[in-house]
Amino acid sequence: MMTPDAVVEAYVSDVARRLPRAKRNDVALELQALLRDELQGKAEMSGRAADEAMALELVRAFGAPEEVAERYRPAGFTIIPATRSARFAAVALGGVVLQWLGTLPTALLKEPGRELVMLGAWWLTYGLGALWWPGFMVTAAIAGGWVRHRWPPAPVSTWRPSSRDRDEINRTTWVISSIAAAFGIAALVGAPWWAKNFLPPAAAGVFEYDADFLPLGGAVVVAMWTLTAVSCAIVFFEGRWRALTRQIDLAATLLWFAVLTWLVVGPRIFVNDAADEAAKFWMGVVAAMVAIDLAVKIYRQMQRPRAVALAGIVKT
Amino acid sequence: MPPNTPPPDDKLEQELRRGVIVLAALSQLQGWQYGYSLRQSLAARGMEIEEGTLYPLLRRLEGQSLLVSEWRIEDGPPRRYYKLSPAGRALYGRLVGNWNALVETVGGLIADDGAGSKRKKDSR
Repeated sequence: MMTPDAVVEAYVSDVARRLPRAKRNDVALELQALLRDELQGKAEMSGRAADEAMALELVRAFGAPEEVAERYRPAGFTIIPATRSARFAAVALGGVVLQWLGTLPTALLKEPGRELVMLGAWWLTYGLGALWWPGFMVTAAIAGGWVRHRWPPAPVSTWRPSSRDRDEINRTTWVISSIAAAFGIAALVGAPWWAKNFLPPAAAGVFEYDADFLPLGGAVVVAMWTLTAVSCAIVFFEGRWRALTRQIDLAATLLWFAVLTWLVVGPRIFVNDAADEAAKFWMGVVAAMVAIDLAVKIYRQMQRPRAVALAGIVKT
Repeated sequence: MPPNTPPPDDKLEQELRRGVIVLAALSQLQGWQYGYSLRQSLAARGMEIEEGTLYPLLRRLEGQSLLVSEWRIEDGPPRRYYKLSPAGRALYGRLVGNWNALVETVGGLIADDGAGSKRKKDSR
């Protein structure tokens, strides 16, 4: 059985040990005096002497010591703002999962029959080691939070758009890109002719297309060039992207990725082995770049506000 | 909803009250007051503020230089007394102005809404 004073004292010391050292004693003395006043007031109201139960009821209503100490602390700085916490968690966990996916299969396939041992070894090395990534992110977030606290961002009155109008196109850049693309296409289509006329006689046939490739492969590639040229011409003359042209571009990029992947793993392109291998290697590189471009385009499309969200709007 | 989370209605009411607690406390600190006497004085005027909210608030306002404080002994044990600092007095004046404007605006909105609802009902 504790005296009411002892309950208050224990509670206050529990709060005080969570406070900054500099103000601990002062706040504790004040809080103790206030809680005693409260307890006395409570006893007078109820018409009986204060006891342990009454003191406990009082301090429990006052709040958990952690919570109360938090209220006495001056506001600190935010490490991860609420608007970024979901993305932070996704990137932190996504990074760990990616590392696991990249290392676990290799570890398991290394010594068939000893999968369990390898799994244990993997967990103690790459498995736990992958946690460096969230640790790094938290450290960076702490540094960022401190910088934002020390040098707060510019007031809203100085806000400017962080990037230019993404739908507007730069026609000069497009003209230069189109000329470069035209040269590239001419080089590919005319490869046998260039080789025949400009390379030494021994290498004249190096870029000769495989006869089986041209009817299907050639037709697919020419169809893709045509589709890309038409969609680019529409955007060029309109001067900016709109929802439909963005969707056509997305579909074209997806098709390009499919075509390039097919060309890498599919039919022979050049008669010459070395030329065919080199062509497939570079097409693989281009396919990887197209995949990245596709991912960026899909991400940007998802970031845009969509009218579907307003489907239920009521016109008045 | 996670456990121990107050229902949304309670939370909204708490937010509404939290906005005026500072103004209410400052209004009673023209002269020296200690935490308990301030809470009693607010309660006597119908403004009940939980002790767990009010006492830390006094410290925070002092930390922002809006209040000054000192330990005093007046008919009882030592207590920390607070009153408005010059900065606190200036802020209090501004808050009172804002409050009056807000009451007028929101009062008008609520009154309009009442009239609007009545109009809609009449037209049916």
